[in-house]
Amino acid sequence: METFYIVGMIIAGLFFGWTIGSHYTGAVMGTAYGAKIFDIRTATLIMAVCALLGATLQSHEVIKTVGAGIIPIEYLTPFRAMIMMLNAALVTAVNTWLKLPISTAQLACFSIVGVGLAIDAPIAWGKTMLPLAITWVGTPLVGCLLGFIFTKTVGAVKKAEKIKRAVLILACCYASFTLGANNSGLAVSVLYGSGTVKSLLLAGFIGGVVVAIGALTWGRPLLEKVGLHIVQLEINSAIGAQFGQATTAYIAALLGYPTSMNQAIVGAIGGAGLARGVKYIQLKVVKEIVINWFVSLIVSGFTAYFLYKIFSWLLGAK
Amino acid sequence: MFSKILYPTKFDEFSFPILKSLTCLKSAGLREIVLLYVIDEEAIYYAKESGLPVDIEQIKKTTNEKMMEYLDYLKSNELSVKTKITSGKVVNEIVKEAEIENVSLIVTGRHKRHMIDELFIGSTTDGVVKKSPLPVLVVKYHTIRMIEGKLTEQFCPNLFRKILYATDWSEHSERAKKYIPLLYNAGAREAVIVHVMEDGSKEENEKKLNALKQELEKIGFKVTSHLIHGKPYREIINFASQEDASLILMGCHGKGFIKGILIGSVSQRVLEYSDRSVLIVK
Repeated sequence: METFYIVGMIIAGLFFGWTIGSHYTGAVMGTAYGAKIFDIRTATLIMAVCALLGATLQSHEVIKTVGAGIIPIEYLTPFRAMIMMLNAALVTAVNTWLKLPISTAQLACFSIVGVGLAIDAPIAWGKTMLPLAITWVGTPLVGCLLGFIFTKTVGAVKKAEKIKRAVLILACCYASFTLGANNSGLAVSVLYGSGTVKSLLLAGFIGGVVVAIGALTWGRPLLEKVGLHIVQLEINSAIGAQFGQATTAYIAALLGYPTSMNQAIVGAIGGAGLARGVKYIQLKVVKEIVINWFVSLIVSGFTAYFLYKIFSWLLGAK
Repeated sequence: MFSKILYPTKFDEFSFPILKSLTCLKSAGLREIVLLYVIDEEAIYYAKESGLPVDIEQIKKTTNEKMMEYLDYLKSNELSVKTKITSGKVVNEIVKEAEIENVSLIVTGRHKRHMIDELFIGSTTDGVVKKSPLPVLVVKYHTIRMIEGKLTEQFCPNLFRKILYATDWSEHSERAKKYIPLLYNAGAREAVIVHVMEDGSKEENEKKLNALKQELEKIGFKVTSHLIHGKPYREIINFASQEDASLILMGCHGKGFIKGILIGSVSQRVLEYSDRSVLIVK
């Protein structure tokens, strides 16, 4: 039966990773695609490669935090890990279907918390959850600040459009690398925590592969659907915002705290707008982020809790 | 039958050339073109979800600017034009606007797309063909790409250069047949008639083909007729390539819902897999 749970955990985790890749394609490549720098194939291919690199090399801290830092690893049986990933995958699928905004970082962490509560495991509220909460609240704020600073800087440099376009490509590569470093670990964290995959490098690589596949399969048509003139952002703001987003999430990844690339870019674009005197972000979007924080947390926590109770009763497993 | 056309556009690379090629339908009765741009609610949702800035007013402004170019061209060709910008689900909006505007034909372009993209997103054109009761002219982009480089006015005779009419003798095929004289007026001079035999006797089919051949020759077409064995959609696609037809004309059986999803009709498959432009009549 244990093999069954391990297989279930892997499948659900990989599905979750795949949705992460598609979910964030717009956030890391949208500005360059909107500026008509890349065609869709090149954009997603570059993204896939950079994300894979980021995941393999720099997602280790995030994997450790999520996989081993929220509840002690001795509580993480394959069955429980399977429920956590199944919950993350299901909530993502349902939210995508209902078109409700979600943050994959909060979703993954609270899937673990939900199961943790159901099994009476000690949850590292102070040591892990508090810094995570600070990261999540701080993400759009730091993104805004950095977006402002970078856009001001880029705007002050008088360089040819061609050079600025090259810089924007660089910014998008950095953002894709960061996506790998910051978010792909979520999909494989419990694989590491439960001891199924023992090497951090291998876990990171697996996470990177599924995120890359997500970008290439589902992310690509979604980005294409957005079309060329839906997102209109001048190049200085695009560069500043993308660097602002990438730096914010990259710092979080180095500290070991996963966060939302979407919320980082919302903040960063807001900051870019402040720097350029343009109102890119409506107040409504800010409200949505705040709602999103709570929806992601509460919904995933609850569903994980009950999913564990139900399956544990049905299958008699722990 | 061609008097009023709905032309939904996303301002893709070949959107304008296709529109230009439509002006030759004037001699087939075209009087008015309705240009439609649908602000795709799913695209807006995804862009917003990705944290990207979306300004609907700005999108409308840009769209209007782009439409002006189309508008000027059509007006200089003495066609009436109406421009519309709506928002919602793209396929539904196109079908709805076609009904509101009471058009007689919907014209769309279609990329040859990656199979994976089809799987996840599906194509707007396929959706329109499935949902709309109106005839749909699907202009394949890469047919135009082949003749790109030459004068854009060349699109006109090229789109209607050689018509392949595939018939199964059903009432749907008969309805499609009525478009042939109009296509002659639009510049078509060559016609290829194809019947893929699944049942019936050979003599009977040949007799019908001959009668049809004579009928089209009377209009002024240079006609060849062919009786083939095999899977209809595959044979039609192969034959269209072999004969270098520019347009496939065929009727569409509105198959039942389940059957339509599972196997698709012959016309849907031809539309999907052929690299030729297709006019589907329901």
